Amino acid sequence: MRVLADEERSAIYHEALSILQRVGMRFTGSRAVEKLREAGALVDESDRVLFPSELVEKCTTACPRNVLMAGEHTDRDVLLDGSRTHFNPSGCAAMALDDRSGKLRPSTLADLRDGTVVMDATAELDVMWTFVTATDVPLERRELLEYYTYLTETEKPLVFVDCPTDPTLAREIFQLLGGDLASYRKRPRVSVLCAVRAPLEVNGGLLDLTIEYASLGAPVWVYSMPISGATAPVTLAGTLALIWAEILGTITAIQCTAPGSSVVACCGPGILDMRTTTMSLGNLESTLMGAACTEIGHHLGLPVHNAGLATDGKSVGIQTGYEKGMKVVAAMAAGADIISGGFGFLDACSTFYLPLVPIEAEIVAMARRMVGGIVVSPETLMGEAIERIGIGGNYLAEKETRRRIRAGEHFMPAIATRAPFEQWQALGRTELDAARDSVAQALAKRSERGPYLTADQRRELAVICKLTKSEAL
Amino acid sequence: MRRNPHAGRLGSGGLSLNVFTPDEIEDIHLATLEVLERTGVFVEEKAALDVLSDGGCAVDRERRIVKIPPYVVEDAIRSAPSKLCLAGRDPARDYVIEANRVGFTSFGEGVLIVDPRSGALREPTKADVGDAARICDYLDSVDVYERAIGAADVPQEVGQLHNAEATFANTTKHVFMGPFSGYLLGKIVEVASVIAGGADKLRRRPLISFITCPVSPLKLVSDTCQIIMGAAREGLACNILSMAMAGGSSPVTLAGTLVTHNAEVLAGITLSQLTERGSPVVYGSSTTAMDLRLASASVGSPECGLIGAAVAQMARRYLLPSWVAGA
Repeated sequence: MRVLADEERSAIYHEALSILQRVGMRFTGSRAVEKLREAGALVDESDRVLFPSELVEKCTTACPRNVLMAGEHTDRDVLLDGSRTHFNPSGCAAMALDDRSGKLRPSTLADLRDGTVVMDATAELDVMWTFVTATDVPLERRELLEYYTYLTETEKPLVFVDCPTDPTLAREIFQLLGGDLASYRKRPRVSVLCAVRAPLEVNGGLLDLTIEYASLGAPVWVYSMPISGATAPVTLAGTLALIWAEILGTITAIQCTAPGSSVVACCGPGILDMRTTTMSLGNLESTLMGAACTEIGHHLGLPVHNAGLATDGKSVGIQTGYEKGMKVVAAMAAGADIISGGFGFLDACSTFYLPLVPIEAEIVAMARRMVGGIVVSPETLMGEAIERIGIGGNYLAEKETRRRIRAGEHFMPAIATRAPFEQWQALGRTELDAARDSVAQALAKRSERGPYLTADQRRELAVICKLTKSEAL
Repeated sequence: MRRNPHAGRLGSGGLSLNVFTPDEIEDIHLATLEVLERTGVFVEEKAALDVLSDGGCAVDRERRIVKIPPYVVEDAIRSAPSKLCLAGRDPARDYVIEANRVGFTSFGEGVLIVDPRSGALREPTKADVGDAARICDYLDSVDVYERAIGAADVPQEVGQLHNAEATFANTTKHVFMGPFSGYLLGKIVEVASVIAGGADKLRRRPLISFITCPVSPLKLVSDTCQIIMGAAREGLACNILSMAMAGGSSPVTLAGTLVTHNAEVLAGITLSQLTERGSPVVYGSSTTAMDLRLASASVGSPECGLIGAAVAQMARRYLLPSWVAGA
């Protein structure tokens, strides 16, 4: 699938370079500002940095195309190399839709734990993000307890969406996970996310923390999420130019300070719904921009992320289904390296709902079959079988039918129903019932197997995270 | 800062998706020609055997098997029009079907209805048929209307005539429907002629097009032959729509299914063009995968979407209007 012609892609890229050169970005108080000045950027008295295009291009070229995010074991490793699309959940919701009461409430540590367990058991999800906030834990203890929970409940690569505020603590965690810092650098189990405040600004403290982690070898997810019509131009092309200015400017700051860092270009634009003045992430304009970003990023040799599973829907209902389904196929067909926005997320990625995780796994599996396309070869054209079976026969009894079905020629749903209407009515089970069963199975398996990491690692992690005896597993 | 427009810049003009490379399309086309020439198709109707024989096909009259030489198939593809103007009862609702312009229609024919008031599943009535037409008449996204449901409360021998009456009375958009037989096609054309103001006016502004389905694999039964030939003689469009089920009535692989699907549709198009050269046809598909756990067709499957995209691309290769079950 193509969204942009070559010339259009080039026009957006050059507009982004022009924005960086003429308008620049602001990184107030960051130590990167001095490094950028040394590298040839112009810096004014308010720490606004104007970037020469050749500096941006040099720093972009310095980013590795392939980014490894290590799992606890190699079978959970994720390599963003453009060969397939991966998935991660959305990040940092503070609200949850309670499945027992059906009520919206602040998210809790239990949501975080159960969600991590279910996502860990979900094959279609490759990378974990810090996806929900434990609002029932006092703020001063929250971050540490959250990290402890994530790291003991999943073996998948993890992204700290809210950068750890204490670099010493993060260093200790990296050391613990890798054995030592050199090993962590080779197999970085944790990545960090650096979000740009649109338009064209990164908090200096956040940028410095990001650079600190990048210099230890943590891949950095540079996240631009302007809102078209509010913090970005209303046109998609204008928003795209702004996104790429933000991403490339931030990458330049990181590369000038921590050369050779791995980065993922994250494109999560929204639009402002002008009737309600709310931010929409379930809209198709964001999907179009995401697909365009994939084309631009890949042309620049960068791995690209977009929020292709986001919905504005508030329930497991019609809107949620069509928004997620339509968007994810387009994002995958465009070839995004990794897609977020979903796996339990409703309401413009601000509300977590646990039973949605297996449903989205099914949507993703279906989309994966779709972008798998149709294989045309002498074997798959099956000319010999067509001639042998002839007119009016059937293919059901063919060995080849059984063999290829088992090999995945046709998608087999786990959640969706294909039963006749009356049979479905008699069964009295909806997609949500099937999803709840899947959640219950994952939680039961977790009870059987216990937490991840060795007992020694858990003990040490509990000390690093300053947990009480009752909090440690 | 002043920036003038580019001179002759190329733009993408929208988002597009291609399932096949040109070489892959060619592979499927050539495999189809081989099937039509070596295996052939079953043609039940004697008059159709005569037409196909006269057109250069090898006909085994005893077994009713017709083998179609590649040149006959390719000539038929070329002679069918690439663009159709589908007239509505209201000329403002005429719809042009041609390359790369995507329109939408309803599906048909549903044999059950969820009662909009009680929520109960039941058989549709003639009143429901009219209501369905009226709702689709109202919706801007529906460009032409396919009779969505069939009435169960009318004599079934003439059911399609009742459905046509209820449909014409409730929409001013162009109507597609399966007439079920050549006889009923003639009767529906009579009704449409009255609405149009005469048979000649109906030819100039065709208010209705027909749909018929080959039986997979590779069979054109009598009713299908009569409908294809009847529509061709009336100068009305016929949507020849195959409904193969990968793994059941066609090969399990989607590529193999597209070959038999293509053979069935092209055999129908050949019959149409040999009946009346230049008669309007639509390349149709409701082909999908069979769920082998339930032995039923699944139209919600990703395979159905892929086949739809592939069929649209095949039809573009043939410069023919296409119709796929996608929504």
